[in-house]
Amino acid sequence: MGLGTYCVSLNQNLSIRKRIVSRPHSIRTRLMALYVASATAMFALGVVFLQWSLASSLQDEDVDFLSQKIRTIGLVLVRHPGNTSALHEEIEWDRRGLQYTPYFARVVNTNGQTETESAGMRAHLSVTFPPPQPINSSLRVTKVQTTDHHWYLLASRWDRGSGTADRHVIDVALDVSHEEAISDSYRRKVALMFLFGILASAVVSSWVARRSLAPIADITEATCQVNISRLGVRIAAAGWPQELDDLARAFDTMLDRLEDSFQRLAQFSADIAHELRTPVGNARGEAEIALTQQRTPDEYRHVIESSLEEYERLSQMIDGLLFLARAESSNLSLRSELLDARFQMSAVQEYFAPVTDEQGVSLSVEGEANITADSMLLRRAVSNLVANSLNNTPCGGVIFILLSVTSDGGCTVVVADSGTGIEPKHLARVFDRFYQCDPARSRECGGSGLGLSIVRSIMDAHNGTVCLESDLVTGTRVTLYFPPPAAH
Amino acid sequence: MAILIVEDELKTLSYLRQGLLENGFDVQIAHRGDEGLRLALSQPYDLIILDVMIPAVNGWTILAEMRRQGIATSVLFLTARDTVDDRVKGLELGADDYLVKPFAFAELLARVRTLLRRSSPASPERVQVADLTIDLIRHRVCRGDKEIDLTNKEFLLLSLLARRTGEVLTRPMIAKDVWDMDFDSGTNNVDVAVRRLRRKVDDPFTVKLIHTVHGTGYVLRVA
Repeated sequence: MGLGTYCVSLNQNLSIRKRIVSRPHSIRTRLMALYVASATAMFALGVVFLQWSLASSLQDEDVDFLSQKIRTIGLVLVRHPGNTSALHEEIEWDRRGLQYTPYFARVVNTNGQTETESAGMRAHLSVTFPPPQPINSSLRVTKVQTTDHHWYLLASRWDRGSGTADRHVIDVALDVSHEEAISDSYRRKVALMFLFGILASAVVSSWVARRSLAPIADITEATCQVNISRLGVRIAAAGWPQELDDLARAFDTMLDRLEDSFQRLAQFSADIAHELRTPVGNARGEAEIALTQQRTPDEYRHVIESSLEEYERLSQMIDGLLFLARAESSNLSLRSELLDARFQMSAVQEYFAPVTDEQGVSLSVEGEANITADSMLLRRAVSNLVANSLNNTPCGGVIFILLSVTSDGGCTVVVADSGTGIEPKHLARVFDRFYQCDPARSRECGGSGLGLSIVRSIMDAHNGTVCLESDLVTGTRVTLYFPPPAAH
Repeated sequence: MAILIVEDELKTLSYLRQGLLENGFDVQIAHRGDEGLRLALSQPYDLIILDVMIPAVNGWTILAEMRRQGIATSVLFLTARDTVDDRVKGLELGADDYLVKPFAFAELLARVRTLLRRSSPASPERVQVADLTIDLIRHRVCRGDKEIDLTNKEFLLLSLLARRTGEVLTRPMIAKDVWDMDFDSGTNNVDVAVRRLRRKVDDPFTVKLIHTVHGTGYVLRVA
């Protein structure tokens, strides 16, 4: 029912508000988490890159030194073959005085005998050197840690090409413990910065999220201003950020519809009260008057008969309203089957034949179609339309029922009359329950004002549509569209 | 014919009892479910009229208990609830008919008669009321010696009234039976159709057979 639906939507409004209150930070938390995660990723990338570039520039320098050293020793070996003391002097050169560089070198001949080596090399460096590399390759170094916690870069290379008989292996090692210490302290600082950065990004993102979500709280507050007695409130005019502007507009549109439905509902309640009041008032009045004095049996009989007519009207109204209520709550049992529409329309035509004859109006059926529909509901819808047409079509007029198949496989039933038509101002409301263009006249014809509402409900139940066109010259034309069976 | 009515609404109970008594039925009443169930199980009835919502034991339970104990008496449900589920439930439990409040008493009477007649299905070939003769096989209607020319629907309408001679038929009953229009169209089609039928069947003759029952419907009877 209408009333039920509106109550439900308002309650939903309230429960949304409750939910916002009980879980206030969910979007904020999510935003914060995303901010922090992306900041962490950026920091981590930066840290890794800096670390790598520092380490590689330090190592490049060391490798340059080592390869320079190997080349010099190789030159001495070539220029002064067999001169061990010149070789030893060259080896020790950088290890003296101010130039002191903590490195070791060793020259080994093809027989595996050490020809010369730096003083103390054996004592400090008890490690295995990597296999020697060919002379013209770029120098590859290996980093090792000795038992006394010093870090060394090791490199090893032949002094001549592989075809030469008198060859030596030159092993060099550079103590890089100092650089390692610098690198370590740098790493610690960077890690600290990293942690601090994440913390700072968490704080900043929390603030940013709160700032940017503030309008949502505002819009919630604005929507809470709306209630049943203040349905006229609109929120879109307040100037929201672009994202919320759409929401505010959608909300306003919903309110428009809601307000319209409320008005219709109020109108409907007023109408129903009025419609009930008339027959009840008649029956009650007649009964009261009848009882004020002695009457003849015929007079009593007349009163009872008349009240029965009023009860009949009430019953019909109740039936109509129940039908509409059931249709609205989708509780209408639909026994759809494939029908020969022509046959169904002929049945309607026969039903109205006595009245059309009496009234001098011609009712004809044209066209052929198969319809998938509930036969009784189809007859009811068309009968309601024909009854309306009969009320508005004077003697000599015509009413057509036109059947046709639509391009999508559906079917239309058109009920058209040459009657007096409906004034444009009534057109928007003719499908409303109890709406009557000319209340006095339609009541005279036995109309309850529910006919077209019932037609619309029937079409809704069939997933179809009803469309009414009317003008005061050509009359009224109502098109019922039944979709093809698959769409049911 | 003995009928038991189980109904808690006293006004309804009272007018149903009076109406059925005046139509020649033997009526017993119960206004509580447990009392109704006791009577239904202990006495033989030709028909039981049951309201669904009654105190102590509801109509559905009474019906289920009767059927469980093998009592096959016809049951007509009366109820203000007419959702499809309710209808289906009643019929599944073995109810023979279902009538939704508010209903015309004439309609109830017709249903009751139909239920009680169910065992004797023989449909007559000819119906004779006063000087009106209807040949249901050859579709011919005469009053006295004079043959009356009727349209197909007029014949159906007259034979419906004649087969139910003396019974008041409501407009919806007539619309459903003659035109297969099982809904209230809010129009006066039935009245117009009866008026046209009368012009052919009654107007030329002194004895009128088709009578209007104001506020209810029509009946075919002598005087």
